[in-house]
Amino acid sequence: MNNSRRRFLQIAGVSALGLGAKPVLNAFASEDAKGPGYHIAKGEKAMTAKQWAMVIDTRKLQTAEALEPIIAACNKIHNIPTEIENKNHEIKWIWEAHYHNAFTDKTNNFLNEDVENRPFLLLCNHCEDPPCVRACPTKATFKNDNGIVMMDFHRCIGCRFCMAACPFGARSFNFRDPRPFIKDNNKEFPTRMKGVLKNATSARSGWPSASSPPAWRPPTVPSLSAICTTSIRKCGNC
Amino acid sequence: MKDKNKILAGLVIFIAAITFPFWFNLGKAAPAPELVLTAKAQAAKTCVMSKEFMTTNHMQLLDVWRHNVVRGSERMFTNPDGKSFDMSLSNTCLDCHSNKADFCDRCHNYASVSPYCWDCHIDNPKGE
Repeated sequence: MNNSRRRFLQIAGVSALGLGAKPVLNAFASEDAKGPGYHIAKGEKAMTAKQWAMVIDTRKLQTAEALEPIIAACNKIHNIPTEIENKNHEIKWIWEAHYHNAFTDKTNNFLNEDVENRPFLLLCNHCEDPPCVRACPTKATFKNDNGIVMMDFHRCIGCRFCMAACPFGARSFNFRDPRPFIKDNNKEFPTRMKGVLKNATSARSGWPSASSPPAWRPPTVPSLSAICTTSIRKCGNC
Repeated sequence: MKDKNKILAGLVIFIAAITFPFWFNLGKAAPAPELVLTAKAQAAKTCVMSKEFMTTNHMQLLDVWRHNVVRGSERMFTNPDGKSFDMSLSNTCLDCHSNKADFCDRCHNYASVSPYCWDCHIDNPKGE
């Protein structure tokens, strides 16, 4: 093709026309895109944090009996199936462990006996860099804006990579439909279905969630702290 | 083409067999189900959106709710009238529509859809 000044000016003119037509097209396109007119936002009482954390004062929990009501309350609120007899199918949410299992890298021969024989409460650590999140092939497990490791059950394919990845054993697989094994349903909280994984705590109620809904959840105090009469647990932002 | 008659007879039988469900059910269309509203739902008059929107789009809306709540931690829904709702199937939708069998199931059975909401969500939070 012969490049001439005339040809160049022709192309430039057509291009300018095209650019000028863009806003007109936009105006036409936006006419139908009105949408249903609703608005979605975080709640007014929503609490935000960089990383939520929970501290347990283990000095106030000396015996296994002292842990029992806490474990029972937590299981009840979150519809945890506690009646599964087969240990392989057990769902671990919050559980009791010996010092050696709870603090594997902090044992020595001359531990305070009192501390060594004390039962400890274990649950999901909501790691800063969670291995389960890295292992999840579908991003069903993810870390939300507040640092909570969350589970999107609708995406979970039940591959159990997170179970293998979690160094703390805080992941359980629903080998069975959990519902028949839940003693007393909390109807305001969902159960799980067969074939999905779960981690040991959820942002839904054990922790101050990003936006606490008005009626059914205390807006500032996480459910566990609300139930524990003593100040054994505290939650806060790191 | 010695077997013309046999082939034709076979074809007729085949077509008759394969269209059997259509002419067997001819004129016996199942009537569209009628939904029963609870007293609370009737008193509220409108749902989170208009009735027409909910009829045609409730599945999309629930999908938007679930995505925004789980992924974005957004729980407050404000409808075009400016009224706000907590985005929760168990605690907002089922608060009024506590009659799953007469409200949800009738249409879902009629349309032959089986949503898996109830695998996890407990269908009657009020225990009514």
